[in-house]
Amino acid sequence: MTPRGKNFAILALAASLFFIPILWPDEFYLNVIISTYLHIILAVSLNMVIKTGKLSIAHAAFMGIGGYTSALAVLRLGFPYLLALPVSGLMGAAIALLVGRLLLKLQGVYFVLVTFAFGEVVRLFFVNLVNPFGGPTGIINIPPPQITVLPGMTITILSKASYYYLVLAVMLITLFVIRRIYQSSIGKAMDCTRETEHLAEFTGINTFQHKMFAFAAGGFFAGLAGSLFAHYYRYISPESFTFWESVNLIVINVVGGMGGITGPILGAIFLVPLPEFLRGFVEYQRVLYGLILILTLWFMPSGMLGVLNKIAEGREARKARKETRP
Amino acid sequence: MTPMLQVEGLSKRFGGLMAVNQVTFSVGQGEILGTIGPNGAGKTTLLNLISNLYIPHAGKILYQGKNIIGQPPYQIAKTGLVRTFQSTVSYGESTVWENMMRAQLGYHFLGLGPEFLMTRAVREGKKAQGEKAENLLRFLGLETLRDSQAKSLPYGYQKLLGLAIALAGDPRLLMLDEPAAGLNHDERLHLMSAIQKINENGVTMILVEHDMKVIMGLCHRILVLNYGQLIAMGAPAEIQRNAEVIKAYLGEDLDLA
Repeated sequence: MTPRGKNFAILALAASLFFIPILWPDEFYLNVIISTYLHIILAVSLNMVIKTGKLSIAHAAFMGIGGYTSALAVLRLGFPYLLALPVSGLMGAAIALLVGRLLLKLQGVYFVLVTFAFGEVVRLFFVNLVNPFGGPTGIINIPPPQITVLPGMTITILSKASYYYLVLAVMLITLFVIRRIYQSSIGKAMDCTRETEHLAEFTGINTFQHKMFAFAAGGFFAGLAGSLFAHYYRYISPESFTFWESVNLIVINVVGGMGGITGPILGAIFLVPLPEFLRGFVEYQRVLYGLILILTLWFMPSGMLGVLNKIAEGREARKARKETRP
Repeated sequence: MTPMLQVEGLSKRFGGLMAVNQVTFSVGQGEILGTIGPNGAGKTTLLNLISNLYIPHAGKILYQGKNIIGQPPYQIAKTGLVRTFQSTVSYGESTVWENMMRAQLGYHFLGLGPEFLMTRAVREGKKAQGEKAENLLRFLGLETLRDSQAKSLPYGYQKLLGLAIALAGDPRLLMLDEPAAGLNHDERLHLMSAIQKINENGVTMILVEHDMKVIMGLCHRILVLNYGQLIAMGAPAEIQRNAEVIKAYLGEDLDLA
């Protein structure tokens, strides 16, 4: 496909998402789709950190930072939601910049371990500081987002369908921004940093700057997702942002394929609704989930994206053979 | 005229081992300085120190008269002090062409904002970088391989690609770590003529190499290391006659024909 054709296809796909709540207004499915979109924001922003060669298991912590920031900004400080949302992202980015300065100096498995520790520290902060975080019970009665469209005209995003559009908008902006980063020299510099860091460094690439940027931007989008999460479920507790959620985001990347933004999108679309479809077998739900995960990785070691690429390559090769045949 | 590089009393210790011990030398502008010595003599450590991959325990490194110890490697590369590596000379998964574009990325990075917005300056810069990549590939005879994956290239071409990547940084002082290792006779001649031409364009060089024909054929002066210490320095003819060098490294029955 030509780049222009590809851009057009992506736009058409994005536009078609607009019609889902109209054509398919079932609350149960909308709930699953909203959760999928939130996971796409999280998994794609984590992908950007992984792109610099850093496997972080602190991503859920940044989501938590965003969620608590947003809830407290609205409840305690009376921020309008449209201000609280970017502030939650900026809080995630600010804390990522602060800890990244130390964490990103660590190599390989040490980085992984310390991000795990950081995630736990953040969680324990929420657990132990009853004021303002509410301790183990968290924060309840988080109001739904109220958005002032025109002066004097405020809409409350309460229904599943309206929340769908809010999450869709943030997801599309996230995907647009991260795709643009990947296409620019910034994304290429991230690839260089991951593949051969010393060669990158000795050809004038400031590898640390790119790692910091990816980590901070990842924290920003995770913070946005946390804010959307908090005001959607109207309740957050430290249990919403544990180590397991971070691992889940890595699994989405691995199952989908880690090469770009398409992989984590596919991974989230496959894995987030999966438990819902296994509800019929409640006692086996976790076993089946695990089994499907193992089978996926067994048969698709480079993820779902890898399989799609192979199919596309096969088709091109057949086409090329056909054209060269006399 | 200040020398391109002055190294004074440089030392690096790994545990109890003095990998580089009190080494002092300088490299004049436009010179090719060869560095030889037995395995483990500290040649690569010396390069790693000058390119700031390692921090020395003692000593000074003055590049164009300025102390560079403590500067991050990417900044040193941007001032024209460029090096190659023995292994991992390129981005293996990428094509030759992508490698050449990646090689120029760091030097021409205009900042996160402009790069994200892909401003006009960024787009025009890319065009100029494309032309430069084209010229460098032609100079080294790699132009027909531009769409090949770097790791699938024959070994000699991989080494040349490494050299092309280094040249993309417009080096003033180029340090090559065993550029001829693993090359066959023709590839070696090709490499030597390339190095000669690069030097004629005013690039100062430090060459770490085991291949005596390359060293003796190209270098203006030669520095000999043994157990981290500088044991001799001088013109190729002097080094070949130096008794200590012959004992430590060259051997009695060296044939340089």
